[in-house]
Amino acid sequence: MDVRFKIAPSGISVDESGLKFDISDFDGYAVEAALQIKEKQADPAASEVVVISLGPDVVQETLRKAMSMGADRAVQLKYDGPIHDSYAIASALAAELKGGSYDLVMFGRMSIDTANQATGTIAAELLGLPIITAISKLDIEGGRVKARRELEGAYELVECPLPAVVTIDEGIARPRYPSLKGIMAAKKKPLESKPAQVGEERYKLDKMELPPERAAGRIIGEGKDAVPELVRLLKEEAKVL
Amino acid sequence: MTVHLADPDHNTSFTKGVFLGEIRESLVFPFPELSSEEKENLAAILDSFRAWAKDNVDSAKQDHDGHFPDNVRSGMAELGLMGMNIPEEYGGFGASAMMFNRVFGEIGATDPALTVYFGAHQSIGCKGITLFGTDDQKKRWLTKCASGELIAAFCLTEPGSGSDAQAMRTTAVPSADGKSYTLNGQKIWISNAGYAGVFTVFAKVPVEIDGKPKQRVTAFIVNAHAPGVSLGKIEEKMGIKASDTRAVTFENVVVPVEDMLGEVGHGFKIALEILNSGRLGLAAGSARGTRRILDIALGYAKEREQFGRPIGSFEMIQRKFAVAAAECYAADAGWMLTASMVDKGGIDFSLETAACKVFASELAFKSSVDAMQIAGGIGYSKEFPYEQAVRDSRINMIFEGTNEVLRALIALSGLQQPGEHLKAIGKAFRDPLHSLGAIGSFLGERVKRQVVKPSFPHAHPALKDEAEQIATVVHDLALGVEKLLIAHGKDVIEHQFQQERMANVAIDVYLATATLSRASWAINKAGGVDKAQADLDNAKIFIPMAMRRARRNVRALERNQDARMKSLAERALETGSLTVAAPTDS
Ligand SMILES: Cc1cc2nc3c(=O)[nH]c(=O)nc-3n(C[C@H](O)[C@H](O)[C@H](O)COP(=O)(O)OP(=O)(O)OC[C@H]3O[C@@H](n4cnc5c(N)ncnc54)[C@H](O)[C@@H]3O)c2cc1C
Ligand SMILES: Cc1cc2nc3c(=O)[nH]c(=O)nc-3n(C[C@H](O)[C@H](O)[C@H](O)COP(=O)(O)OP(=O)(O)OC[C@H]3O[C@@H](n4cnc5c(N)ncnc54)[C@H](O)[C@@H]3O)c2cc1C
Repeated sequence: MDVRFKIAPSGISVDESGLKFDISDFDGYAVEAALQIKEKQADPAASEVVVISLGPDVVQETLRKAMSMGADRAVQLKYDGPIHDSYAIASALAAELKGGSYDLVMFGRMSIDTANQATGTIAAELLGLPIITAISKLDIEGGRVKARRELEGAYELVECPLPAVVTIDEGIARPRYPSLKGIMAAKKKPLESKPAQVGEERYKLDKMELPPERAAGRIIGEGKDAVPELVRLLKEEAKVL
Repeated sequence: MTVHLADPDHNTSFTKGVFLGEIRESLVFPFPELSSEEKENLAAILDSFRAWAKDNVDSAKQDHDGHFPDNVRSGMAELGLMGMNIPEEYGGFGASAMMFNRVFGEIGATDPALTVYFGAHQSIGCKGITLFGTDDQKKRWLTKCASGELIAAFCLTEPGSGSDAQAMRTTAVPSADGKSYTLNGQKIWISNAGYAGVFTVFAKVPVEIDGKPKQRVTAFIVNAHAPGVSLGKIEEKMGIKASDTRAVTFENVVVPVEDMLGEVGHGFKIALEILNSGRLGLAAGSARGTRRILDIALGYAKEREQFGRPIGSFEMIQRKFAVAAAECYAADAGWMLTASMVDKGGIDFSLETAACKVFASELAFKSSVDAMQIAGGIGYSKEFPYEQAVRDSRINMIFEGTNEVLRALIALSGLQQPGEHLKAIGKAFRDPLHSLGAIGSFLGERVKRQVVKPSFPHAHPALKDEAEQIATVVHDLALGVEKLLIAHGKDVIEHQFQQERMANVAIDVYLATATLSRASWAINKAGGVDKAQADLDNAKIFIPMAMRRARRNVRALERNQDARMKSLAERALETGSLTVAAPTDS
């Protein structure tokens, strides 16, 4: 069934009724990249892929999906309200990550709805870790991250020591489709839910608006006699010429 | 997961009750519901399948090319779908019939040829091993089937033996040392043959009974790569073109006794049980497929304007959508209710799976023709999906029991109540299409019940009239059947005009009952009629429509033109022509 994109009465969030949530594309690439790193280890069972998401209980479904792809466990940082400031989100994630024994923290380059591209970077800063953003290829070698970043018409190869934060661009790997076995296994994997320690929001969303409806078309005339009038309207009314 | 047989010799059946004028309401109420866990699992599986299919399955291209690209077959295996209804202990997913058939439907709506691949493998190909195999056989064969490493196929049909499976000529002769059987014969129309690693093959084993040589149908698990197995060329078909269909020839193929499935002489029963549940997939697939092609037509009817308005605003188009909506509602209700019978166990679901298959396969074909009609000229073009839908849906009326044979099965089984087989001495199992057992107790049971008018105490009050209509038909059918039996006795086996009517009544009664159960459930769940208006509309269209047909059929049991019909048909058969001399003939 088609669901029309609607803004909620609050004017600052989306009407979620009938919407189905899924992993944001870039996060999906990050999960896949993480799983591939794990699988490449000499003893894959010795490493662990943990997925973390901040949000209301619907994110549990998304976390389960990541576990059905192969992630080992999941943490929900429970937060029910709308949240827009990347800093506030990053501070909650950093509070959870701080002191954890992670070698690599992977973010999507951006979320596909708000496209801020900031959460991963801020989290790295808060954790005091090096960061490489928007990477399209990733290797772990001798305790270092070696990454490739796509630039306009070129690319660069960069590296930094572990532990580190990276944000993942598309092209790194296509997320696998959860298998029936993966789906069943995910049910038995731990999903921990705890309150998010969200930092103060310093950035405020004032208003969301849909683009104006397109006005109905108009027939000006037919054949070449209509051209001068069309040109005049395009110049004076539509102001596109 | 436990797998259940229909076991018609012992289990109780809703539809057999209908022939007796009874409504066994507890078998059909309340409408089955998924547990929240099952719902989650199903949602995750469907999500994953859809995402994969969107990226990998191009139904029109596969139809054009006549085969699946390799990534489609490997993808199905990687998703774990090839082991979906194989028990977990043998590496499968162990899906309930409800889950399995829902996914079957989704695959059917994506690409009908792909469901034949999926279904020929596990609905029928290795289903016999799941149902009747020993632990050792399951370990050796099922685990590989579950992973998709081995693809299975089901080999029953032969050149001289289609609907009449007993007429098979393939033989399996035991070796002198008793360690193996030697298989000889030819099977045709075998789906998945080209990919198969393992076949379930039915063959006749010579035995001696009371000193007389006899042949007994027996099932075998056969390594598709064993010496002596050869494949014919791929069949060129009207539809489901990407599905691989071939003849398979067995020439002195040695099958170790460990690979005999069940016992000597149990093959026919095994084949029937496999098909009893396998058929339900075709029903679910047809129902979903119908919805898919009509959804496409809906989109078109909203966009396409003629006479200054969308064609969807014309009532001749709306009628097609409305009827198809109600019939899809019924078809879905039917397969879901039946799947829950399969999952519960202890219920004879054989007539219900047959009813669902007949109804949904005819619905899918008729509806895709309607969708094509709604599309107008473009419906006829290969650039649009309508004509493929017409071609692809047609097969469902032919395989896994033709709809004629299934109607005969419903009618004749309906006349034989459980327990009667025990009186038919010397028969290991019943075979209603070849002989009718005693029908005496049918009449006996009827007499006991004649006074009681059946009813549906659990139907929602808003559907009281509809429930009444079904109950009246059930009551009248039993009276009609009784008169028929008094008139013809066992000769009723020869009266197929009448069998077809009885079967059509039973099919309509079952689908109407499933609809009644589903709509009652939906109204209760929604918390009132006003909150379940669409369910109510569907039920209030479908049930009276089906019961009008049924009443006409019941009446025709007594008043009909069968004698004249027969003479028309026989004259045509004799002369080889339908026509009589006309003024324009030359
Ligand atoms: C694409 C395709 C895939 C198939 N896949 C498989 C497979 O994987 N494995 C397998 O074993 N088989 C398979 N089959 C075979 C299929 O099951 C048979 O075609 C079917 O059972 C009908 O048999 P038949 O073709 O010999 O027709 P027939 O039995 O000769 O029937 C011809 C016509 O006579 C009617 N008829 C026959 N007997 C009666 C009766 N007693 N009363 C009234 N009408 C009757 C039939 O309904 C039909 O209309 C497949 C067939 C096709 C076309
Ligand atoms: C193989 C082929 C050969 C053809 N050859 C020729 C040819 O030689 N010359 C030529 O001129 N054309 C030809 N046609 C075109 C053909 O006549 C049209 O396809 C047909 O008239 C239907 O028009 P349409 O396809 O635009 O469908 P539409 O008119 O868009 O109709 C779509 C659907 O809406 C229904 N509908 C439309 N209006 C109403 C209404 N008022 N009330 C209820 N229902 C309505 C239609 O019945 C149909 O079901 C050909 C088409 C085909 C497929």
